[in-house]
Amino acid sequence: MKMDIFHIDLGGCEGCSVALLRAMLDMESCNFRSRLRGDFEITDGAIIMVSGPICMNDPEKIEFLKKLREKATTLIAFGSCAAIGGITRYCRGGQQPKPHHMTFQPINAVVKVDYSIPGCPPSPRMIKPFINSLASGKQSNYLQIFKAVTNVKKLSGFDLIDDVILQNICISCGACVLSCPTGAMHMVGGKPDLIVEKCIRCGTCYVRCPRASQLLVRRYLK
Amino acid sequence: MKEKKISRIGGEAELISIDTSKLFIVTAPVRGFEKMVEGKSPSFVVQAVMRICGICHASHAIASCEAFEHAFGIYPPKNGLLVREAIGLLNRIQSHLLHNIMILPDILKSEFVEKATHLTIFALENINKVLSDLAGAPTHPNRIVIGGISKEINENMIERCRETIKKAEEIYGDIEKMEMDESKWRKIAIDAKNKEVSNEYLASHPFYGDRFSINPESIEVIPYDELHDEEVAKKSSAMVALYDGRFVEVGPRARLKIYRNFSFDGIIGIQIARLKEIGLAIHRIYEIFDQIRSGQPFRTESFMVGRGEGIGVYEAPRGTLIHRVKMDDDGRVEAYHIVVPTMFNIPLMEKTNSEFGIRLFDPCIPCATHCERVKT
Repeated sequence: MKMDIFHIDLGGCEGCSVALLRAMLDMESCNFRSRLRGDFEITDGAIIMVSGPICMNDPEKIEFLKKLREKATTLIAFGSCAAIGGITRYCRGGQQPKPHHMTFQPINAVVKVDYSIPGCPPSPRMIKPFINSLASGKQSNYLQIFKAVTNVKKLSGFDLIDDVILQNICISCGACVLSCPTGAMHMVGGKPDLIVEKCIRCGTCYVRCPRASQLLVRRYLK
Repeated sequence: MKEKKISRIGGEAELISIDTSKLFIVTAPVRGFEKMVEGKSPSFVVQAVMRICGICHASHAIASCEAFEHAFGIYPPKNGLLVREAIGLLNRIQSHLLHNIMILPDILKSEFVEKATHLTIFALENINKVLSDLAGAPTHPNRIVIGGISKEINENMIERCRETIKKAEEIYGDIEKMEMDESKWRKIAIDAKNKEVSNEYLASHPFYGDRFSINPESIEVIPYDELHDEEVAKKSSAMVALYDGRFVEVGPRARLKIYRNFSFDGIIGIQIARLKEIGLAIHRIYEIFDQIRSGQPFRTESFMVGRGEGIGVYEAPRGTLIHRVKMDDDGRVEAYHIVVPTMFNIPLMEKTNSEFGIRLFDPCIPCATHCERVKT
């Protein structure tokens, strides 16, 4: 039986919606519904992917998110904003016409999340294996990483530097440099270094790092 | 009062009907990028403002770079500007094609929709590939930097991009043929062709953007609830922009009306202009590829960062986009203001009085929430 997957955006940049649309086009294992393709009603027991941050000053949105949680068997925070805050970690409010929109949080600040997929936006190469693992129904190592991410509310290049490079467990594979969406990671003397003003706190490097991702799994799941 | 969520647009909005008038209410939260970038360094700002919108990402990055370059008094080398223009045009095609996927069910009879959608998706995949090659990523491309482009483009890469664009061009030909065929249109599309509108138009350049061809001082930004007295208007998180105190249409039709001979005055003219623009953009990209000289610089080598003010004007897929920046002594942002095309279009979108009309304008909600009142 095909899985029903619904995508809801809570007010992000729509980059995640577009990335999902691209990745899901040729996915045989699921029926994918997005508001970019038309209206839909969410059925009970569905798999729901949520992108965009939750604005803590918008009670309607919080209620809406809680309702989504009730309906979903599996709730997936898709993209950095929904998973770990991402660029919205820099928000400080005060802007017209809604200056009271100050606090933005990843959605795990409000509801329990089953999987969090960081990325700005997550690449189709990350999404497809994820959906396939989910469809297979088995708990694979790949899914575990995303399960572990649900326990954190922030991840950035600094965390990678602190936990991997300063601990001297970096293997200089360059995965962080390749994965960084803003080019904030570069190699200096054979080791990754963070260009601090370019880091948008999307957490992609941390999840892609073969060492850091295992640290996450060990810290939160074992 | 009747409210309806509008689907198949970029972002989240409601259409509220009161008597005979329609209100376009933006319900997305205000993330406040203009406040976010205050006190930050320019290279962060370019990466941050790109994340205002996942559909017109490159446009925001280019407008921001233009504003900073204006403030620092630098002018990127020709190669840098050319590649940047190509990236911007690819973003334009990408956005237009994405919008095509969203609007096709309104225009074509149901039996043709699926085929046209598939064709559009194929074309989009090719364009995404070129954008990844040239700009680093299909969404939020990271090679657009202040002073030009951060990676040199060589001839092999250009050749590869040219091949892929050729594929996209062929598919685009099929899409255009199918979508311009009025016998395949639904009734609402034909009605929209006959319903003429007379809007004033604003555009600054056919392909790139030019801060000298419009007067940024004439732009006035007001909150949405000053446009409508109804209580519900306070709910909206959008702002509205006026040019010289008047409502103006920006976007593909405005560009073609001002810089080309374009005669479709029906509201569907916007969609036809959008299709034509894809073709024009592809031709311009070929031209750009011929002019890029590998071996010559792609980026300004060094520049001083300090106090200054700058304006960046860029023609985003949906119309004229304006970024204004004021820098402090340390070379950090003191104030930042953005005027996005959807802000100009909101009043005219409401005038069409239908969901289809609004969708034709391709409103971009993530952008529309990020704008601050400009004091005049």
